[in-house]
Amino acid sequence: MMLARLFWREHRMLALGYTGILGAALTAATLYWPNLRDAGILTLVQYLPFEPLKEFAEGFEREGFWAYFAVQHLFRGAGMFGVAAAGLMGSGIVAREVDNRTAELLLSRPISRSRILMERWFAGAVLLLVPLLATTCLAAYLAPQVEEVLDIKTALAATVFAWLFPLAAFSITMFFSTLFSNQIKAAILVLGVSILQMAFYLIPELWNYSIFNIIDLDVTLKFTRGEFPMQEACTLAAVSLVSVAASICSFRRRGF
Amino acid sequence: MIQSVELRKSYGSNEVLRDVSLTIQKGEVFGFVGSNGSGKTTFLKCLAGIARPDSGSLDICGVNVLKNPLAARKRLGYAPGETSLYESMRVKGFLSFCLSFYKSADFSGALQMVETFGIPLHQRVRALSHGMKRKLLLTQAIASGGEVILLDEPMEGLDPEARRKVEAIIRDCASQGRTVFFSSHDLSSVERVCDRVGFLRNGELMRCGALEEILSEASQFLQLSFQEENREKVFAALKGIPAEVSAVSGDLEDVFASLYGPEGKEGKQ
Repeated sequence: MMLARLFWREHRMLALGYTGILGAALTAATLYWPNLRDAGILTLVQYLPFEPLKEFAEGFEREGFWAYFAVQHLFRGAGMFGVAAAGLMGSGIVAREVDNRTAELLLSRPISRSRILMERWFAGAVLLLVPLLATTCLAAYLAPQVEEVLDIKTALAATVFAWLFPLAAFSITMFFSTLFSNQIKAAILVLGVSILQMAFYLIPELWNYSIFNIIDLDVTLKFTRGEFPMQEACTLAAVSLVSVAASICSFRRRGF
Repeated sequence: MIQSVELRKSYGSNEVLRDVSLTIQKGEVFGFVGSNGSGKTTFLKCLAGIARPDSGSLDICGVNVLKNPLAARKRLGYAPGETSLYESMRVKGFLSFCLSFYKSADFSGALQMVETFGIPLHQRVRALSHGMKRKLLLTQAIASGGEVILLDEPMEGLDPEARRKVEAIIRDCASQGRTVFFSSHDLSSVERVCDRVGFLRNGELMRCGALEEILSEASQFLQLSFQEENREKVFAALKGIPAEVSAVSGDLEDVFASLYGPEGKEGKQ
Protein backbone atom coordinates (compact mmCIF):
# COMPACT_ATOMS: atom_id res chain seq x y z
CA MET A 1 0.00 0.00 0.00
CA MET A 2 3.03 2.29 -0.25
CA LEU A 3 1.78 3.83 -3.48
CA ALA A 4 -1.69 4.41 -2.04
CA ARG A 5 -0.14 6.15 0.97
CA LEU A 6 2.00 8.28 -1.34
CA PHE A 7 -1.09 9.18 -3.36
CA TRP A 8 -2.95 10.21 -0.22
CA ARG A 9 -0.05 12.33 0.90
CA GLU A 10 0.35 14.02 -2.45
CA HIS A 11 -3.36 14.80 -2.68
CA ARG A 12 -4.16 15.62 0.93
CA MET A 13 -4.46 19.35 0.27
CA LEU A 14 -6.72 18.75 -2.72
CA ALA A 15 -8.86 16.40 -0.63
CA LEU A 16 -9.04 18.96 2.18
CA GLY A 17 -10.02 21.65 -0.30
CA TYR A 18 -12.67 19.38 -1.80
CA THR A 19 -14.07 18.61 1.65
CA GLY A 20 -14.02 22.29 2.56
CA ILE A 21 -15.87 23.32 -0.59
CA LEU A 22 -18.46 20.55 -0.18
CA GLY A 23 -18.95 21.43 3.49
CA ALA A 24 -19.15 25.18 2.96
CA ALA A 25 -21.52 24.89 0.00
CA LEU A 26 -23.78 22.42 1.81
CA THR A 27 -23.81 24.41 5.05
CA ALA A 28 -24.68 27.63 3.24
CA ALA A 29 -27.38 25.88 1.20
CA THR A 30 -28.91 24.18 4.25
CA LEU A 31 -29.00 27.38 6.27
CA TYR A 32 -30.60 29.19 3.34
CA TRP A 33 -33.29 26.53 2.97
CA PRO A 34 -35.86 28.11 5.38
CA ASN A 35 -35.80 31.35 3.33
CA LEU A 36 -36.49 29.43 0.16
CA ARG A 37 -39.11 27.21 1.74
CA ASP A 38 -40.96 30.08 3.39
CA ALA A 39 -40.81 32.39 0.37
CA GLY A 40 -42.63 29.84 -1.78
CA ILE A 41 -40.35 28.04 -4.16
CA LEU A 42 -42.72 28.05 -7.12
CA THR A 43 -42.69 31.83 -7.21
CA LEU A 44 -38.99 31.63 -8.01
CA VAL A 45 -39.40 29.24 -10.92
CA GLN A 46 -40.20 31.98 -13.44
CA TYR A 47 -36.87 33.69 -12.67
CA LEU A 48 -34.75 30.60 -13.26
CA PRO A 49 -32.94 30.65 -16.62
CA PHE A 50 -32.75 26.96 -17.54
CA GLU A 51 -35.44 24.30 -17.80
CA PRO A 52 -33.59 21.76 -15.60
CA LEU A 53 -33.26 24.37 -12.86
CA LYS A 54 -37.01 24.99 -13.01
CA GLU A 55 -37.55 21.26 -12.67
CA PHE A 56 -35.27 21.24 -9.65
CA ALA A 57 -37.31 24.02 -8.04
CA GLU A 58 -40.54 22.15 -8.73
CA GLY A 59 -38.93 19.10 -7.15
CA PHE A 60 -38.10 21.13 -4.02
CA GLU A 61 -41.72 22.22 -3.77
CA ARG A 62 -43.01 18.69 -4.27
CA GLU A 63 -40.47 16.63 -2.32
CA GLY A 64 -39.19 19.13 0.23
CA PHE A 65 -35.80 19.14 1.91
CA TRP A 66 -34.66 15.75 0.54
CA ALA A 67 -34.91 17.05 -3.05
CA TYR A 68 -33.00 20.18 -2.04
CA PHE A 69 -30.29 18.05 -0.40
CA ALA A 70 -30.12 15.78 -3.47
CA VAL A 71 -29.59 18.68 -5.85
CA GLN A 72 -27.21 20.62 -3.62
CA HIS A 73 -25.07 17.73 -2.43
CA LEU A 74 -25.51 14.79 -4.78
CA PHE A 75 -25.92 16.63 -8.08
CA ARG A 76 -23.77 19.70 -7.45
CA GLY A 77 -21.39 18.35 -4.80
CA ALA A 78 -20.66 14.88 -6.15
CA GLY A 79 -21.54 15.59 -9.78
CA MET A 80 -19.76 18.87 -10.32
CA PHE A 81 -17.20 19.42 -7.56
CA GLY A 82 -16.55 15.67 -7.42
CA VAL A 83 -15.81 15.47 -11.13
CA ALA A 84 -13.45 18.44 -10.86
CA ALA A 85 -11.60 16.75 -7.98
CA ALA A 86 -11.56 13.45 -9.88
CA GLY A 87 -10.08 15.16 -12.94
CA LEU A 88 -7.32 16.81 -10.91
CA MET A 89 -6.49 13.61 -9.02
CA GLY A 90 -6.74 11.13 -11.86
CA SER A 91 -4.83 13.11 -14.45
CA GLY A 92 -1.56 12.72 -12.56
CA ILE A 93 -1.64 8.98 -11.94
CA VAL A 94 0.76 8.21 -14.78
CA ALA A 95 1.17 11.47 -16.69
CA ARG A 96 2.68 13.24 -13.68
CA GLU A 97 5.29 10.49 -13.25
CA VAL A 98 6.26 10.92 -16.89
CA ASP A 99 6.17 14.70 -16.68
CA ASN A 100 8.28 14.76 -13.51
CA ARG A 101 10.61 12.09 -14.92
CA THR A 102 10.09 9.80 -11.96
CA ALA A 103 8.45 7.05 -14.04
CA GLU A 104 11.77 5.28 -14.64
CA LEU A 105 12.51 5.05 -10.92
CA LEU A 106 9.01 3.81 -10.10
CA LEU A 107 8.89 1.26 -12.91
CA SER A 108 12.22 -0.21 -11.88
CA ARG A 109 10.71 -1.28 -8.52
CA PRO A 110 9.50 -4.88 -8.23
CA ILE A 111 5.85 -3.95 -8.60
CA SER A 112 3.64 -4.60 -11.59
CA ARG A 113 2.18 -1.78 -13.63
CA SER A 114 -1.35 -2.99 -12.93
CA ARG A 115 -0.65 -2.88 -9.18
CA ILE A 116 0.64 0.69 -9.50
CA LEU A 117 -2.63 1.70 -11.15
CA MET A 118 -4.86 -0.29 -8.83
CA GLU A 119 -3.28 1.10 -5.65
CA ARG A 120 -3.64 4.64 -6.93
CA TRP A 121 -7.16 4.05 -8.18
CA PHE A 122 -8.15 2.68 -4.79
CA ALA A 123 -6.53 5.64 -3.02
CA GLY A 124 -8.31 8.10 -5.31
CA ALA A 125 -11.66 6.31 -4.84
CA VAL A 126 -11.31 6.66 -1.06
CA LEU A 127 -10.36 10.34 -1.36
CA LEU A 128 -13.48 10.98 -3.41
CA LEU A 129 -15.80 9.03 -1.11
CA VAL A 130 -14.74 10.15 2.37
CA PRO A 131 -15.43 13.90 1.90
CA LEU A 132 -18.84 13.11 0.41
CA LEU A 133 -19.80 10.86 3.32
CA ALA A 134 -18.46 13.32 5.87
CA THR A 135 -20.44 16.20 4.41
CA THR A 136 -23.58 14.05 4.19
CA CYS A 137 -23.23 13.51 7.95
CA LEU A 138 -22.84 17.27 8.30
CA ALA A 139 -26.09 17.79 6.40
CA ALA A 140 -27.87 15.29 8.65
CA TYR A 141 -26.55 17.24 11.64
CA LEU A 142 -27.61 20.62 10.20
CA ALA A 143 -31.10 19.54 9.08
CA PRO A 144 -32.72 19.85 12.55
CA GLN A 145 -31.32 23.40 12.78
CA VAL A 146 -33.65 24.32 9.89
CA GLU A 147 -36.53 22.23 11.23
CA GLU A 148 -36.03 19.42 8.78
CA VAL A 149 -35.11 15.74 9.11
CA LEU A 150 -32.64 13.96 6.88
CA ASP A 151 -32.68 10.18 7.27
CA ILE A 152 -28.98 9.41 7.61
CA LYS A 153 -29.19 5.87 6.23
CA THR A 154 -31.01 6.94 3.10
CA ALA A 155 -28.73 9.93 2.68
CA LEU A 156 -25.58 7.80 3.01
CA ALA A 157 -26.91 5.22 0.55
CA ALA A 158 -27.68 7.99 -1.94
CA THR A 159 -24.23 9.48 -1.36
CA VAL A 160 -22.52 6.18 -2.12
CA PHE A 161 -24.55 5.98 -5.32
CA ALA A 162 -23.66 9.57 -6.23
CA TRP A 163 -19.97 8.80 -5.54
CA LEU A 164 -20.04 6.37 -8.46
CA PHE A 165 -20.30 9.38 -10.75
CA PRO A 166 -17.00 11.09 -9.82
CA LEU A 167 -15.48 7.62 -9.53
CA ALA A 168 -16.33 6.96 -13.18
CA ALA A 169 -14.84 10.34 -14.10
CA PHE A 170 -11.75 9.48 -12.06
CA SER A 171 -11.38 6.12 -13.84
CA ILE A 172 -11.76 7.73 -17.27
CA THR A 173 -9.20 10.36 -16.31
CA MET A 174 -6.81 7.63 -15.19
CA PHE A 175 -7.11 6.09 -18.65
CA PHE A 176 -6.22 9.41 -20.29
CA SER A 177 -3.36 9.76 -17.85
CA THR A 178 -1.86 6.50 -19.16
CA LEU A 179 -1.90 7.96 -22.68
CA PHE A 180 -0.48 11.41 -22.00
CA SER A 181 2.90 12.61 -20.82
CA ASN A 182 1.49 15.82 -19.42
CA GLN A 183 -0.92 15.93 -16.50
CA ILE A 184 -2.45 19.26 -17.52
CA LYS A 185 -3.47 17.92 -20.94
CA ALA A 186 -5.26 14.95 -19.37
CA ALA A 187 -6.98 17.16 -16.79
CA ILE A 188 -8.06 19.76 -19.36
CA LEU A 189 -9.49 17.05 -21.60
CA VAL A 190 -11.64 15.55 -18.84
CA LEU A 191 -12.71 18.86 -17.32
CA GLY A 192 -13.48 20.22 -20.81
CA VAL A 193 -15.70 17.23 -21.62
CA SER A 194 -17.43 17.61 -18.23
CA ILE A 195 -18.20 21.29 -18.85
CA LEU A 196 -19.53 20.41 -22.30
CA GLN A 197 -21.72 17.72 -20.77
CA MET A 198 -23.06 20.18 -18.21
CA ALA A 199 -23.87 22.59 -21.07
CA PHE A 200 -25.76 19.75 -22.79
CA TYR A 201 -27.69 19.20 -19.56
CA LEU A 202 -28.88 22.79 -19.48
CA ILE A 203 -30.04 22.84 -23.12
CA PRO A 204 -33.43 21.08 -23.45
CA GLU A 205 -32.69 19.85 -26.99
CA LEU A 206 -29.41 18.22 -25.88
CA TRP A 207 -30.49 17.19 -22.41
CA ASN A 208 -30.79 13.52 -23.38
CA TYR A 209 -27.13 13.43 -24.41
CA SER A 210 -25.79 14.58 -21.06
CA ILE A 211 -24.21 12.14 -18.65
CA PHE A 212 -25.43 14.33 -15.77
CA ASN A 213 -28.87 12.74 -16.28
CA ILE A 214 -27.54 9.76 -14.39
CA ILE A 215 -27.40 11.59 -11.06
CA ASP A 216 -30.07 14.23 -11.42
CA LEU A 217 -33.07 14.66 -9.17
CA ASP A 218 -35.33 12.14 -10.93
CA VAL A 219 -32.81 9.40 -10.19
CA THR A 220 -31.83 10.32 -6.63
CA LEU A 221 -35.46 10.77 -5.59
CA LYS A 222 -35.81 7.00 -5.95
CA PHE A 223 -34.06 6.67 -2.59
CA THR A 224 -36.95 8.42 -0.82
CA ARG A 225 -39.29 5.79 -2.23
CA GLY A 226 -37.09 3.01 -0.89
CA GLU A 227 -35.84 2.14 -4.38
CA PHE A 228 -32.27 1.83 -5.60
CA PRO A 229 -31.36 3.17 -9.07
CA MET A 230 -29.81 -0.12 -10.10
CA GLN A 231 -29.56 0.60 -13.81
CA GLU A 232 -27.76 3.89 -13.30
CA ALA A 233 -25.48 2.39 -10.63
CA CYS A 234 -24.57 -0.51 -12.90
CA THR A 235 -23.89 1.86 -15.79
CA LEU A 236 -21.54 3.98 -13.67
CA ALA A 237 -19.81 0.92 -12.18
CA ALA A 238 -19.37 -0.56 -15.67
CA VAL A 239 -17.84 2.69 -16.94
CA SER A 240 -15.36 2.59 -14.06
CA LEU A 241 -14.50 -1.08 -14.63
CA VAL A 242 -14.01 -0.67 -18.37
CA SER A 243 -11.89 2.45 -17.81
CA VAL A 244 -9.72 0.68 -15.24
CA ALA A 245 -9.26 -2.31 -17.57
CA ALA A 246 -8.42 0.01 -20.48
CA SER A 247 -5.96 1.91 -18.27
CA ILE A 248 -4.17 -1.29 -17.29
CA CYS A 249 -3.90 -2.42 -20.93
CA SER A 250 -2.69 0.99 -22.03
CA PHE A 251 -0.13 1.30 -19.22
CA ARG A 252 1.21 -2.20 -19.80
CA ARG A 253 1.74 -1.48 -23.47
CA ARG A 254 3.24 1.93 -22.97
CA GLY A 255 6.94 2.21 -23.77
CA PHE A 256 9.36 4.17 -21.58
CA MET B 1 24.35 -13.48 -13.71
CA ILE B 2 23.40 -11.22 -16.63
CA GLN B 3 23.02 -12.68 -20.08
CA SER B 4 21.90 -10.79 -23.13
CA VAL B 5 21.54 -12.58 -26.44
CA GLU B 6 21.07 -10.67 -29.70
CA LEU B 7 19.05 -7.96 -28.04
CA ARG B 8 17.36 -5.53 -30.42
CA LYS B 9 15.35 -2.46 -29.62
CA SER B 10 13.96 0.28 -31.86
CA TYR B 11 12.03 3.45 -31.20
CA GLY B 12 10.05 3.86 -34.42
CA SER B 13 12.54 3.71 -37.27
CA ASN B 14 15.44 4.47 -34.96
CA GLU B 15 17.31 1.27 -34.15
CA VAL B 16 18.79 1.84 -30.70
CA LEU B 17 20.17 -1.60 -29.90
CA ARG B 18 21.44 -4.00 -32.56
CA ASP B 19 22.01 -7.59 -31.58
CA VAL B 20 23.72 -6.81 -28.29
CA SER B 21 25.05 -10.04 -26.78
CA LEU B 22 27.06 -10.18 -23.61
CA THR B 23 27.45 -12.23 -20.46
CA ILE B 24 28.42 -10.85 -17.07
CA GLN B 25 29.45 -13.15 -14.25
CA LYS B 26 28.57 -12.99 -10.58
CA GLY B 27 30.70 -10.55 -8.59
CA GLU B 28 31.90 -8.76 -11.70
CA VAL B 29 31.96 -5.00 -12.18
CA PHE B 30 31.09 -4.25 -15.77
CA GLY B 31 31.46 -0.80 -17.30
CA PHE B 32 29.37 0.17 -20.29
CA VAL B 33 30.96 2.91 -22.33
CA GLY B 34 29.73 4.78 -25.38
CA SER B 35 29.11 8.22 -26.77
CA ASN B 36 25.80 10.03 -26.23
CA GLY B 37 22.88 8.24 -27.85
CA SER B 38 24.81 5.02 -28.33
CA GLY B 39 22.11 2.97 -26.52
CA LYS B 40 23.59 2.54 -23.03
CA THR B 41 20.54 3.81 -21.15
CA THR B 42 18.17 1.84 -23.35
CA PHE B 43 20.11 -1.33 -22.61
CA LEU B 44 19.92 -0.59 -18.88
CA LYS B 45 16.18 0.07 -19.17
CA CYS B 46 15.76 -3.28 -20.92
CA LEU B 47 17.70 -4.96 -18.11
CA ALA B 48 15.48 -3.29 -15.51
CA GLY B 49 12.35 -4.39 -17.37
CA ILE B 50 11.30 -0.79 -18.03
CA ALA B 51 11.72 -0.95 -21.82
CA ARG B 52 10.76 -4.02 -23.83
CA PRO B 53 13.24 -5.22 -26.43
CA ASP B 54 11.90 -6.08 -29.89
CA SER B 55 13.77 -9.37 -30.01
CA GLY B 56 16.50 -11.34 -28.30
CA SER B 57 16.64 -12.70 -24.80
CA LEU B 58 17.68 -11.22 -21.51
CA ASP B 59 18.29 -13.13 -18.28
CA ILE B 60 19.15 -11.85 -14.80
CA CYS B 61 20.14 -14.49 -12.23
CA GLY B 62 18.54 -17.12 -14.46
CA VAL B 63 15.24 -15.24 -14.66
CA ASN B 64 14.00 -14.21 -18.08
CA VAL B 65 13.41 -10.47 -17.87
CA LEU B 66 11.00 -10.45 -20.80
CA LYS B 67 8.82 -13.27 -19.51
CA ASN B 68 9.01 -12.46 -15.83
CA PRO B 69 10.07 -8.84 -15.32
CA LEU B 70 8.73 -8.68 -11.78
CA ALA B 71 10.83 -11.62 -10.56
CA ALA B 72 13.87 -10.15 -12.34
CA ARG B 73 13.36 -6.74 -10.76
CA LYS B 74 13.28 -8.33 -7.30
CA ARG B 75 16.87 -9.34 -7.90
CA LEU B 76 18.21 -5.98 -8.92
CA GLY B 77 18.81 -2.52 -7.58
CA TYR B 78 18.51 0.24 -10.13
CA ALA B 79 19.63 3.85 -10.16
CA PRO B 80 18.35 5.73 -13.21
CA GLY B 81 20.38 8.39 -14.97
CA GLU B 82 17.61 10.90 -14.44
CA THR B 83 17.92 12.78 -11.15
CA SER B 84 14.35 14.10 -11.09
CA LEU B 85 13.01 12.48 -7.94
CA TYR B 86 9.96 12.78 -5.71
CA GLU B 87 10.91 16.31 -4.81
CA SER B 88 8.45 16.90 -1.96
CA MET B 89 9.71 13.89 0.03
CA ARG B 90 12.37 14.10 2.69
CA VAL B 91 15.53 12.07 2.19
CA LYS B 92 14.54 9.48 4.79
CA GLY B 93 11.04 9.19 3.37
CA PHE B 94 12.39 8.86 -0.13
CA LEU B 95 14.66 6.00 0.88
CA SER B 96 11.85 4.36 2.80
CA PHE B 97 9.60 4.65 -0.25
CA CYS B 98 12.19 3.27 -2.69
CA LEU B 99 13.16 0.37 -0.43
CA SER B 100 9.64 -0.56 0.68
CA PHE B 101 9.22 -2.66 -2.45
CA TYR B 102 12.14 -4.97 -1.58
CA LYS B 103 12.02 -7.73 1.00
CA SER B 104 15.80 -7.89 1.30
CA ALA B 105 16.31 -4.13 1.58
CA ASP B 106 18.78 -2.81 4.14
CA PHE B 107 17.23 0.43 5.40
CA SER B 108 19.70 0.98 8.23
CA GLY B 109 22.56 0.40 5.78
CA ALA B 110 20.99 3.01 3.50
CA LEU B 111 20.83 5.52 6.35
CA GLN B 112 24.49 4.87 7.15
CA MET B 113 25.49 5.33 3.53
CA VAL B 114 23.55 8.58 3.29
CA GLU B 115 25.36 9.77 6.41
CA THR B 116 28.69 8.82 4.82
CA PHE B 117 27.78 10.93 1.82
CA GLY B 118 26.88 13.83 4.09
CA ILE B 119 23.26 14.07 2.94
CA PRO B 120 20.97 15.49 5.66
CA LEU B 121 18.24 12.92 6.35
CA HIS B 122 15.49 15.42 7.05
CA GLN B 123 16.21 17.60 4.05
CA ARG B 124 13.59 17.75 1.31
CA VAL B 125 14.76 16.05 -1.86
CA ARG B 126 14.09 19.24 -3.84
CA ALA B 127 16.69 21.05 -1.74
CA LEU B 128 19.47 18.61 -2.63
CA SER B 129 22.13 19.39 -5.22
CA HIS B 130 22.42 17.35 -8.39
CA GLY B 131 25.37 15.43 -6.97
CA MET B 132 23.55 14.64 -3.73
CA LYS B 133 20.55 13.34 -5.66
CA ARG B 134 22.93 11.15 -7.62
CA LYS B 135 24.35 9.74 -4.36
CA LEU B 136 20.82 9.20 -3.03
CA LEU B 137 19.91 7.22 -6.12
CA LEU B 138 23.03 5.14 -5.75
CA THR B 139 22.23 4.52 -2.08
CA GLN B 140 18.73 3.20 -2.73
CA ALA B 141 20.04 0.95 -5.53
CA ILE B 142 22.70 -0.60 -3.34
CA ALA B 143 20.52 -0.85 -0.23
CA SER B 144 17.80 -2.65 -2.19
CA GLY B 145 19.74 -5.83 -1.49
CA GLY B 146 19.58 -6.92 -5.13
CA GLU B 147 22.16 -9.39 -6.40
CA VAL B 148 22.62 -7.20 -9.45
CA ILE B 149 23.14 -3.45 -9.28
CA LEU B 150 22.38 -1.39 -12.39
CA LEU B 151 23.69 2.15 -12.37
CA ASP B 152 23.12 4.64 -15.16
CA GLU B 153 25.83 7.29 -15.12
CA PRO B 154 26.54 7.00 -11.37
CA MET B 155 29.57 9.32 -11.54
CA GLU B 156 27.85 12.12 -13.42
CA GLY B 157 27.82 15.35 -11.40
CA LEU B 158 30.01 14.01 -8.60
CA ASP B 159 33.08 15.75 -7.24
CA PRO B 160 36.36 13.76 -7.27
CA GLU B 161 36.08 12.84 -3.58
CA ALA B 162 32.52 11.56 -3.96
CA ARG B 163 33.55 9.69 -7.08
CA ARG B 164 36.24 7.87 -5.12
CA LYS B 165 33.69 6.98 -2.44
CA VAL B 166 31.28 5.65 -5.05
CA GLU B 167 34.08 3.64 -6.63
CA ALA B 168 34.89 2.13 -3.25
CA ILE B 169 31.22 1.25 -2.69
CA ILE B 170 31.02 -0.41 -6.09
CA ARG B 171 34.14 -2.46 -5.38
CA ASP B 172 32.72 -3.38 -2.00
CA CYS B 173 29.52 -4.65 -3.64
CA ALA B 174 31.57 -6.80 -5.99
CA SER B 175 33.57 -8.22 -3.10
CA GLN B 176 30.25 -9.32 -1.53
CA GLY B 177 29.52 -11.30 -4.70
CA ARG B 178 27.09 -8.78 -6.17
CA THR B 179 27.27 -7.91 -9.82
CA VAL B 180 27.54 -4.26 -10.76
CA PHE B 181 26.68 -3.05 -14.24
CA PHE B 182 27.12 0.61 -14.90
CA SER B 183 27.23 3.00 -17.81
CA SER B 184 29.56 5.93 -17.65
CA HIS B 185 31.29 8.65 -19.59
CA ASP B 186 33.90 8.91 -16.87
CA LEU B 187 36.54 6.62 -18.33
CA SER B 188 38.99 7.08 -15.49
CA SER B 189 36.42 5.71 -13.03
CA VAL B 190 35.60 2.84 -15.36
CA GLU B 191 39.31 2.09 -15.52
CA ARG B 192 39.66 2.13 -11.74
CA VAL B 193 36.71 -0.08 -10.79
CA CYS B 194 35.73 -2.32 -13.68
CA ASP B 195 36.76 -5.90 -14.28
CA ARG B 196 35.35 -5.85 -17.77
CA VAL B 197 34.35 -3.13 -20.19
CA GLY B 198 31.97 -2.99 -23.16
CA PHE B 199 32.01 -0.31 -25.83
CA LEU B 200 28.70 0.50 -27.49
CA ARG B 201 28.45 2.49 -30.71
CA ASN B 202 25.18 3.20 -32.51
CA GLY B 203 23.56 0.33 -30.64
CA GLU B 204 26.26 -2.19 -31.53
CA LEU B 205 28.65 -3.71 -29.05
CA MET B 206 31.94 -2.84 -30.70
CA ARG B 207 34.32 -4.30 -28.18
CA CYS B 208 33.89 -6.18 -24.95
CA GLY B 209 36.53 -7.74 -22.76
CA ALA B 210 38.59 -7.73 -19.60
CA LEU B 211 40.02 -4.37 -18.65
CA GLU B 212 43.66 -5.61 -18.69
CA GLU B 213 43.17 -7.09 -22.11
CA ILE B 214 41.71 -3.89 -23.49
CA LEU B 215 44.36 -1.72 -21.85
CA SER B 216 47.13 -3.93 -23.25
CA GLU B 217 45.72 -3.15 -26.69
CA ALA B 218 45.75 0.51 -25.80
CA SER B 219 49.46 0.37 -25.03
CA GLN B 220 50.14 -0.32 -28.71
CA PHE B 221 49.33 3.29 -29.49
CA LEU B 222 52.17 5.63 -30.38
CA GLN B 223 52.42 9.15 -29.24
CA LEU B 224 54.10 11.52 -31.64
CA SER B 225 55.51 14.83 -30.53
CA PHE B 226 56.67 17.22 -33.21
CA GLN B 227 56.94 20.84 -34.17
CA GLU B 228 53.88 22.33 -35.85
CA GLU B 229 55.82 23.14 -39.03
CA ASN B 230 56.66 19.45 -39.39
CA ARG B 231 53.03 18.26 -39.25
CA GLU B 232 52.80 17.55 -43.00
CA LYS B 233 56.09 15.73 -43.02
CA VAL B 234 55.03 13.57 -40.05
CA PHE B 235 51.96 12.47 -41.88
CA ALA B 236 53.93 11.89 -45.09
CA ALA B 237 56.46 9.56 -43.60
CA LEU B 238 57.85 8.76 -40.20
CA LYS B 239 61.38 7.90 -41.14
CA GLY B 240 63.96 10.64 -41.34
CA ILE B 241 61.65 13.21 -39.77
CA PRO B 242 62.97 15.20 -36.82
CA ALA B 243 60.24 13.96 -34.49
CA GLU B 244 60.41 12.13 -31.21
CA VAL B 245 58.61 8.81 -31.48
CA SER B 246 57.87 7.01 -28.23
CA ALA B 247 55.53 4.28 -27.07
CA VAL B 248 53.44 5.23 -24.03
CA SER B 249 51.04 3.12 -21.97
CA GLY B 250 47.52 3.89 -23.12
CA ASP B 251 44.30 4.23 -21.19
CA LEU B 252 40.62 3.86 -21.95
CA GLU B 253 40.60 7.34 -23.45
CA ASP B 254 42.84 6.01 -26.20
CA VAL B 255 40.67 2.94 -26.74
CA PHE B 256 37.60 5.17 -26.87
CA ALA B 257 39.24 7.47 -29.37
CA SER B 258 40.32 4.57 -31.57
CA LEU B 259 36.80 3.09 -31.57
CA TYR B 260 34.81 6.27 -31.92
CA GLY B 261 37.22 8.56 -33.74
CA PRO B 262 37.28 12.31 -33.27
CA GLU B 263 33.45 12.52 -33.26
CA GLY B 264 33.18 10.01 -30.46
CA LYS B 265 35.83 11.79 -28.50
CA GLU B 266 33.88 15.03 -28.87
CA GLY B 267 30.72 13.27 -27.73
CA LYS B 268 32.48 11.95 -24.67
CA GLN B 269 32.18 14.17 -21.62
